[in-house]
Amino acid sequence: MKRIQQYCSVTDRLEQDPACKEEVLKMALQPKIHMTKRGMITGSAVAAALLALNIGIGGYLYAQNKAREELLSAANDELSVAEADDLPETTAAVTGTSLSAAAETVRLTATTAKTTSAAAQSSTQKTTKTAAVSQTAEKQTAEKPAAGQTASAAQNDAGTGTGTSAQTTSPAPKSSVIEYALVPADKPYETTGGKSVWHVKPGEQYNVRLTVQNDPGVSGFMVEYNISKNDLLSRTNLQHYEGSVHAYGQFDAVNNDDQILVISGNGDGSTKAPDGAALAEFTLIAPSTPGTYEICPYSNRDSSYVVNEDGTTTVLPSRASFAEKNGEDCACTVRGAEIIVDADETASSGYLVDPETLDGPTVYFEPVTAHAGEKHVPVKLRVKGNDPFISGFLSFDYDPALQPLLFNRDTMDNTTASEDDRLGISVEGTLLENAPLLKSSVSIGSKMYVIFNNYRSFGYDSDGLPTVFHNGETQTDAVIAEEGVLCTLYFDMPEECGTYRIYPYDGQLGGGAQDEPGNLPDQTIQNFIPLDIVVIP
Amino acid sequence: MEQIYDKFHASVYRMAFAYCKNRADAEDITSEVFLKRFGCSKTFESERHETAWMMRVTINQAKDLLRIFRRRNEVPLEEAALVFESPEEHEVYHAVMDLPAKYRSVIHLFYYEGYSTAEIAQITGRSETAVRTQLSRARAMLKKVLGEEFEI
Repeated sequence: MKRIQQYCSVTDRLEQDPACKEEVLKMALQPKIHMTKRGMITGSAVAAALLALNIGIGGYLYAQNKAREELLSAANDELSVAEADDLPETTAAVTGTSLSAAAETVRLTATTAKTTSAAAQSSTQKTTKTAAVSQTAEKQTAEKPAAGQTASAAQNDAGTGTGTSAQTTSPAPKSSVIEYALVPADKPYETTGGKSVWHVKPGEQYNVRLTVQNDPGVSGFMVEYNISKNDLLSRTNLQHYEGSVHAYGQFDAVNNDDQILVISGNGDGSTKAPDGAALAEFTLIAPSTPGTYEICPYSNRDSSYVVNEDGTTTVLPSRASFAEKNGEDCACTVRGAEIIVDADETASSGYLVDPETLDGPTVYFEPVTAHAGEKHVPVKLRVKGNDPFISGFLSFDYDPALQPLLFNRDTMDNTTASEDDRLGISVEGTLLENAPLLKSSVSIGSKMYVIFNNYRSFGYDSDGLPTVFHNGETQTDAVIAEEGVLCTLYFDMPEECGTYRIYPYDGQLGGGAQDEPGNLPDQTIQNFIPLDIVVIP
Repeated sequence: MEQIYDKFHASVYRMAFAYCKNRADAEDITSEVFLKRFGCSKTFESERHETAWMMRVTINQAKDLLRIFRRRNEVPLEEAALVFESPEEHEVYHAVMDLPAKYRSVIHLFYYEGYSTAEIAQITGRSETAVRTQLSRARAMLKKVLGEEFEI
C-alpha cells in the first residue's frame, strides 16, 4: 500500500468525541458566558467590556476605511473582512469588569495603520486598534476609545505615550503594564503617538534595540513587528542581551513584501530587568528614498470570537505579542517605530554601506543605475575580507518588480559559454582563466539561491552527454584566493522609475567537498550589504 | 446548524488534530471554528468554497491556540486517539506528525483533503510557490525518515 494511503487510512479512523457535537450546538443556541475546555471565557458581557477596555499599547482606535478593506481583501481573508465590518465603534465608558479567577486573559489585536513611502511605492494603510486585558481589577486601566479616529498616518496611542489618547475612567498604576519599545541604539528619538520616532540618512546603517519598562520578572515574552523588507530590513546582527531575560529573534517571511520580526525570550520568573534594559538588538539599513517608514506591531488575521445575546457575533482581534510570569499573563504594551529618512544632498558613493568600513567576509554589490524597462542589466556581486575558498552559496531577496535572468543549467557548457555566463573571480576587472564554476540560480517568489563550485562543474561533452568537469586534478587546484567579483546576476528593470532593493541575507564561502583532499574550512559571511538599484527614465 | 456540523466536523477535527496532535486541543479548536461558522452570515459559492473557509479558520485557530498557550515545544502525539492496523501505518503517521506544523498542514491538505496547491495557498495565506516549496521539502523530509518516497 502506498505510504500516503496509510496516512489517510489512519486519519480516516480519527474520530471526535460525539459529545462535542451536542456541546457545540448548545453553545451556539444559547450564547452566554461559557468556557471552553481551556478556560477561555467568551460571552457578550465580557466582549463589551473587552472592546471598551483600553490597556497597553494605546487608545482604542477604530476606523473603517477603504484602504483597510482593500488590504484585508488583498490578504484574501474574507472572514476578516466580514468580521471587520461587524466591529462596532464604541464610546462606552470603561469599567473594570472583573473576570472570574478561572478566566483566561484575552488580548485584543492591534491592526496597525501603516504608510509606506510614496516616492517609489504605493501606500497601504491599516487601522490600528489595540487593547490588552489583565486578569485582575488592579491591573486594568480604562481609557475611553477615541471614536471616529481615522488613520491617515500611522497612529498608535500608547497607554503611556502622548498623542490622541482617550479619556481615562479607571486609571491603573502605570508601573503594572510592561512596555516593550523599539528605540535606536545610538540616536536621539522622540516618543510621539505611541511610537518611537527618529531620523536617519538614506542608506544609513544603524542599530535598533527592543527595550523593556516595568518588567515584573517575566518568565517569557514574545514581541512581533511587521517590517517591509524592501524598505528597512537588514538581516544582520540580531543579538540577544545577557541579563535577567535572554532574548533571541528571527525574521519570518510573511509574503514577498513583508517580514515579521519576532523577538522572544525567557526569564526566571522573578529577576526584573531594569527599566530601559535592551533585550535584543538588530541592524537596519535605511532606504535610499527619503520618506517615512514604519515598524508596526504585528497582528494575527484571525481572532477570538464571541456570540452575543442577540445572536450577533463580536470579534476580539488578538495580538501576537504577549508576556507571562510563572504561567500568569501580564498586561503589556508594544510600541513600534516611525523612521524618517531625510533627504541628503551629499553625493552618494552608491553603496548603502561602505564595504571598506566592514571587517570579515563581506558580500556586497557594485552600484547599479539602469533605465526603466532595460533588459539583462548586469549586477555584480563582490566579496571581500575572505580567506581562500572553493565553493559556496548565497541567498538573496529582491524586489518583486525586478525580473531575474535565470541561467539555464541544461545548456550550460564550459566550452561554449560566454564570459558573461560564467562565474568567475575578477580582480580589478580581470576574470580568472580556466575557472569554470558551477552556476545554479533558482528563483522562488522573490528569493534567489546561487550555488557555485570552482572545482566541480557540470556541462555537456561534444556528444551532448552530461558530464562533470573538474578544474584541476584536486580541489587544491581550484582554490579561489582573491577578493573580487564573485558572480554576475542579470535582471530586467521595471518600467517605473525608482529604487529597487536586492539584498543578500544568507550564505557561506565553502571549502569544497569535505571528503576529498585539499578541502578548506568553511567561512561564515559576516556582512551582507544590500543594493538599491536606481532606475531612471 | 446540525447539518453543517455533520458535514464538516470530521474534516475540521482532523485538520485541527494534524496541527496540535492531541484530542483536547483539537476539540477546542473544532468548537471555536463551528461557533464562528454558525455566527457567520457569509454566503458561500459552493461546498468546496465553504470547506476551504472552514479549513482556513481551523488553521488560524490552531495557530492562535499554540500561541496563547505558548507551546514552544512540540506536544507529543496523543497515541490513544489513533488506531493503527500495522506497524507501517504507525511509522508513516508518526513521520508526518513529526514534521514542522506548517509542513504537516500542507501534507494533510494536499494528500488527505485533496486540495490543489493553488487552493492550499488561499487557505494558508501563502503564495502558491511557497506551498509547492513546502510540499517538496515535506516530501524530502518524509523520504529521509521513511527511506522511500511518500507517494509510492
